[in-house]
Amino acid sequence: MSVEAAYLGIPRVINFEGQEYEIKLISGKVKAEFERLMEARVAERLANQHKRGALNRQEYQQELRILGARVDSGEFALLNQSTALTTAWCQLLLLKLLMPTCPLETLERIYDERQDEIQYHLANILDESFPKTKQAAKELEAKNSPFAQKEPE
Amino acid sequence: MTAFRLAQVVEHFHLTLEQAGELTDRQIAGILFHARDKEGRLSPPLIGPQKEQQLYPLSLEEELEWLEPMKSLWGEQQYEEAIKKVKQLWESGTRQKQLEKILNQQDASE
Repeated sequence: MSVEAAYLGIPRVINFEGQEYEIKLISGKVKAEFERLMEARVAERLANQHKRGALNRQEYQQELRILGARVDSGEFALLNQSTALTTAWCQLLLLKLLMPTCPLETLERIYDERQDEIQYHLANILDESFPKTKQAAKELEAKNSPFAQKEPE
Repeated sequence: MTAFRLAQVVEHFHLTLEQAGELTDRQIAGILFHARDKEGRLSPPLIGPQKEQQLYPLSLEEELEWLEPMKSLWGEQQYEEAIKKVKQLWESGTRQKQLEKILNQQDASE
């Protein structure tokens, strides 16, 4: 990867049915928006449960407090090699933020039909957006390896 | 990014929060916080003398060492045959002659 590609923030491009769609890099603003949308999704689920009567008011308030603690602990934060990106829904959510010019319907079709290409772009975008992403991934892999030396307890 | 780092970016580089938010972590770490010397000037990357890549093994031991990674690729039998052939080449002096020829050609082209 050239220095220009890594640092100038030029968006990647995906061609779909004769149309070019740009995929932005993950800026600070995108990270913050992603976290907010993740929080909103859980809050909406809780609200629906409360509406259906699955949660009474006290339980609902308690769940909202737990949600606040989860957000504060950074559970929904988009960090490099984030676990938040392991589900299809979260990947789609991130893509919505990275491809603002692409209509949602088209985006969902691209995600379904070009799964491998999307994974390839996402991996590269993570690498281009965060410093030392590959190194962090290697360290994590080494740490989780069954051959890793464990510290004596 | 920590609030401290964000404050540094905004204050030192005179960016608005909006502009700082458009940057990636990598841009901030690699460009805005590029290494500097004591006086705050940008430090160029340190490039030491380049080690010349060795293209040919210069002894039997070196060639055997070069061949070792091929063991898993070739399989035991093919590897043993290659070792045998290489040893023959060195013992008969053929390899030395080949090397001499290559090195002379290189000298002539330089």
